[in-house]
Amino acid sequence: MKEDMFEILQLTNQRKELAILSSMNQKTERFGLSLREEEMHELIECRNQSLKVHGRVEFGEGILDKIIYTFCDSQYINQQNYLQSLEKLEDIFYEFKNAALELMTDDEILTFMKEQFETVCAGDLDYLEGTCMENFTAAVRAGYEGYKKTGGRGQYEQFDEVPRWDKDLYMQVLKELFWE
Amino acid sequence: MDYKMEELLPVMAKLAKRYTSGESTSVSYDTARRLMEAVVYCIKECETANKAVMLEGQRVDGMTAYERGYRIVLDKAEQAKAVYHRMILNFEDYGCQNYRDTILKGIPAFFLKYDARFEPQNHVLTLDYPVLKLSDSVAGADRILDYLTEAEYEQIFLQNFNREAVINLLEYVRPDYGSLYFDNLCIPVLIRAAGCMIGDEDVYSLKLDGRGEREAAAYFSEINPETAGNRLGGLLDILEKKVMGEAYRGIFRNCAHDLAVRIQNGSRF
Repeated sequence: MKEDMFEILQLTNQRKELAILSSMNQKTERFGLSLREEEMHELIECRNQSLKVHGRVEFGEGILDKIIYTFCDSQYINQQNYLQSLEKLEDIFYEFKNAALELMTDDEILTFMKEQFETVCAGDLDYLEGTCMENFTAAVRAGYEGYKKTGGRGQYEQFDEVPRWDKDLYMQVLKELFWE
Repeated sequence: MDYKMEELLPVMAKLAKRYTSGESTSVSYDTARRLMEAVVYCIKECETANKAVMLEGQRVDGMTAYERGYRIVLDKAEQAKAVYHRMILNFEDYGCQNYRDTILKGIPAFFLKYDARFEPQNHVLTLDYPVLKLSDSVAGADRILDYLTEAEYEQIFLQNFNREAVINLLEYVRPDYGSLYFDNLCIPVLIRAAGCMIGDEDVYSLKLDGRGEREAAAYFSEINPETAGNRLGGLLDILEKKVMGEAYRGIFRNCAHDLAVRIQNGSRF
C-alpha cells in the first residue's frame, strides 16, 4: 500500500487548513504575531514535508492551529522568528510523536514542549529537540506514564540530567541577606 | 472491489479518529496502512454478502459499505464462537499436544484479542494444527470460522472411530506422537481406513493385519500417481459418505492425491 495515497488525504484538507490558519491570525495578532498568505502556504508545505519525513499522516484538521495556539504567547517567539519557529516546532512535534510510540496524546506532547521551551530551554528549539524531548520520550518508551496524570506538565525535572538553579534556595539566601 | 481510493480515504480518516479517541491528529504510516486494510476488509465482506443475495446492482457509499461489512465481521466472529463451543463440548485430543494446544489454548485467545473494528484482517493465531482444507487467501474472522468449521467436521469424523484404535494407530505411526506429531490426525486414519476397505476389514476398528497391508500396498503399486490419487479419492469418498452420513461434505477426496503420493513413497497403512 503506497504512502502516495495518504498525500491525497493531505491535499484534500489543505483548503480548509488555509482558512483555519487565517482565522488563527485573529487570535495571535494581540501577541504581535501573524502569518501572511505566502507564509501560510510555506508552513503547510513544510508540514507536509515533515509528515513525509517522519512517516505520518494527518486525517483531520491537523496540528498546526494547536501549535500556534499553544506557542503564540511565548516570550521567545516574535514576528521575526514566528514562521521559522512554527516550522521547527511542528517538525519536533511529529518526531516525538513517533519517539513516544504514539503513547502520548497531542495535548500531552504540546503541553510538555511548551513548558520546557519556556523554562529549561529558554527558547532554544535545538535544546528542546536534542535534550528535553529525547530524555523524556526515552522514559516514555521505557514505560513511564506519569505524564497521563498531569497532562504533560511538571514532568521533566526527574529526567533532567543537568543540575539546575534551585529557585527556593535562591529566595531563601536572598531573604537572609537582605530582609533578616 | 468497486470503491476508489478517494472514497476509501475519508472512511479511513474517520476510523483513525476513532482509533486515537480523537486525542491525536495524526497516525504513523503503519497505523494508517493497517486501518486502510481494515476498511478494505470490511467493504469486501459487504460486497461478498451483497453478491450472495443478488444485490450487486445496489451500490452504497464507502462509509455505509464499511459499517455493513463490520457488522458481517462481528457476525462471523459470533458464528465462529458458536462452532467452537459446540466443538469443545466433547472434544477429544487423542493425546496429541499440538492439536490440544491449538484448539483448547489457541482458539480462546482469538476471541479475547480479535479486533473487528481496527484490525479485522488479523486472525491473531498461527493455527499450528493443520486442518485438511483451508485456503491461504482467507484472513481474519473468515479464516478462523473456516478453520473451526473444518476442525469440527474432522473431529466428528474421528469420533466415529474407536478412541483406542485411533490412539494405537497414532502410536504406530509415531511412538512419540504425543509431543511430536504436528500433522493432521485424520491423515493416518484415512490411510488406514482405506487399507481396511481394500482388505475387506472392519473400518471402524482401524485394524489391518499383514495380509491386509500387502493387499492395500499392491492396490496402489505399479500405477501412475494420477491413477493412484483417483483410486484413493474414490475410496475416501465412500468412506466419508458412510461415516458422516447426512453431514457429508465431500472434502476428504481433495487430499487423495497428496495421500496417494505418500502411499506410493512408502508410507505404511
